[in-house]
Amino acid sequence: MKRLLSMALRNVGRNRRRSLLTGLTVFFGVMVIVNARGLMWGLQSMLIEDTVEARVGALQVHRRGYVDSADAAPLELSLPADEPFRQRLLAIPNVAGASGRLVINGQASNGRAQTLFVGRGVDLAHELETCPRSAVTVKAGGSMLQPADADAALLGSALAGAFGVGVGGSVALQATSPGGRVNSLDVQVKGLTESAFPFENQRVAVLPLSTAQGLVGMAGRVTEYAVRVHELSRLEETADALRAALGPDVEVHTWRDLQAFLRDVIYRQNTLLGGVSLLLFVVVLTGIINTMSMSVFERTREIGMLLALGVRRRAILQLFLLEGVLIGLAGGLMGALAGRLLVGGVAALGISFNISGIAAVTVLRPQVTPLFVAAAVAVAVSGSVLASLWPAWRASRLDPVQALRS
Amino acid sequence: MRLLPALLLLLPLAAAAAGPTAEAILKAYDAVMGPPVFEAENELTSVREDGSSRTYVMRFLKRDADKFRVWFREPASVKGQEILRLGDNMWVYLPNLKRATRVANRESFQGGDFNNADVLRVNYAGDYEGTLVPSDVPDTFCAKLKATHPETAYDAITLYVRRKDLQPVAARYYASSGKLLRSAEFSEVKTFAKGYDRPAKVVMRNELVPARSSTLVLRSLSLDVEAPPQRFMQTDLGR
Repeated sequence: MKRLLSMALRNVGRNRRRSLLTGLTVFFGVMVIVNARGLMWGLQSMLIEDTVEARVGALQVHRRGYVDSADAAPLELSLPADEPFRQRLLAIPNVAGASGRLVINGQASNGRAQTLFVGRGVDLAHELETCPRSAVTVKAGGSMLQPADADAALLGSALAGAFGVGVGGSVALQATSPGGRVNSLDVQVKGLTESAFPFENQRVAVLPLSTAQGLVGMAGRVTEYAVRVHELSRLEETADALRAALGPDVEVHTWRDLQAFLRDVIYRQNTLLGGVSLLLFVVVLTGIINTMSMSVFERTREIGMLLALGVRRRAILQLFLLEGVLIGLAGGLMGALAGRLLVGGVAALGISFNISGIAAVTVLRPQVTPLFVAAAVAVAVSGSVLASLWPAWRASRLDPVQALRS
Repeated sequence: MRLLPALLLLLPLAAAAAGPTAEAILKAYDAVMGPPVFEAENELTSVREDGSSRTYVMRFLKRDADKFRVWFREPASVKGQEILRLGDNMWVYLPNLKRATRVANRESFQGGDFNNADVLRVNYAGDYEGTLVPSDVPDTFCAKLKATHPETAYDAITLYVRRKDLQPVAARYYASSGKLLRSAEFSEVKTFAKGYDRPAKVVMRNELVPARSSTLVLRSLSLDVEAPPQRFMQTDLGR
């Protein structure tokens, strides 16, 4: 076996240009796949963080039936806005933070025009520990709401634009209590928010919880709790633990359930990437098959000589397979190393997405897991074996007399 | 001593000069604006802030405080549409789909600036506590109404009624925050049935966006109608 290996090594080295070319094909294939996956994972985790950390929370808790009719923002399905209830959520393992919100539908007006709005009353004392990036969406020139604020609001930039109102201006918000009482309040605009989600820009006003409660006469009540978790990977088990602890009157949804759009985007990206990877794999495979076939063709006399000297047909097969493995392994390892370094380098630099006007910048940082890199190498090597199989078999089947005569 | 009976005789006259009680004004308003059962044909015109306006002609049938049906007549785009409202639930029937869809309960009456409570659930005597105050409008009484429970549409209302027959003239509606939400003007008092007079025209102005207003004109109204319970069932929609 050792002799076979040294023969294979020498054979690979003998036609340096062809081996290098084949190795480079594998090298680039692995590097591209590692980087594409890294970028995709980086992009997805950026989107997820934007959703989970800035707005939705990892999990949300509602009164049963709320999410099915969430568009109507049913105020009747409410939960207590008190510390004991919040502590029940915080007592669950992996829960890092929880904050109550009151989502209301109403009309906003500036004295000249009126439009529908969705008000999100947030518990400012706890919102930042649940959605740490929620302040990030506030455009420069405005400021995040503070716990002491009352009768203040952050307006979606397009919503504010429709009224021609800016930071410091005021709008009248009107909403109806569950019992049918109409109420209206003047709120001061403390900031404008900008989001990648058009609905957020056009319809949403963020209010202090007490202001939202006052508007709809629901002191001490919220319609949802946003929950932050320590580890997103344990999301489902945390959701189950919450369900078990809170009983049948309450429903728990993960960000995947609540943001079906984002979930589908990620699914489509992964499918696309899978297709592209497969295509790349086939191209690399074809390259190896070609090299090995050429090698067998060129070395027919040599193979005939080996057979004539009494080398077993099985050893010929093993020799050619080994050559394939060596090229695949070398190219794959180098490609994985280069790919990993590139991903790390780009991640360290970061690709900035500066959504127009927002103070903080969203940065895309590609990321790959060691497991994915190892898997890419394994696929490259087994691909090489697969691709060498047919040429190697053909070489081992040669008739020594015919081969020597050629 | 002969003076006393004479003075006693004069007392009711003095009371009449001081005017009715606030409670009487509220009861009179309920009797005029919210008869328990009626069928009417109306024209509702809503003017939006951009100056555009829309007019709907509809027939509606009301029974009790929380049951009503609407049949749209005009314009052609909504002809055949129907609405059923039972308490807090509301269904819209679309003739081209031949289906009734449940819609979120919005408090606005047919998308205009009226509140459902302005048109359908009129029960001022039950919902508000009235106080008579000096009126700043000639020939009217003025009552300040304050909600007696949190489920009323408004926190407070200022109501002006005619001195001679207590027909409503104007009203101002306030939110819990004290903000003026809407104001109404009632005009064109007509006799719709024997012994039943009411304003045929109500203009409701949205005080938060003064360019918005809705006008409800009653073309006809009948108190003597049958409103059988089966008319207020989902299965009756589209028939």
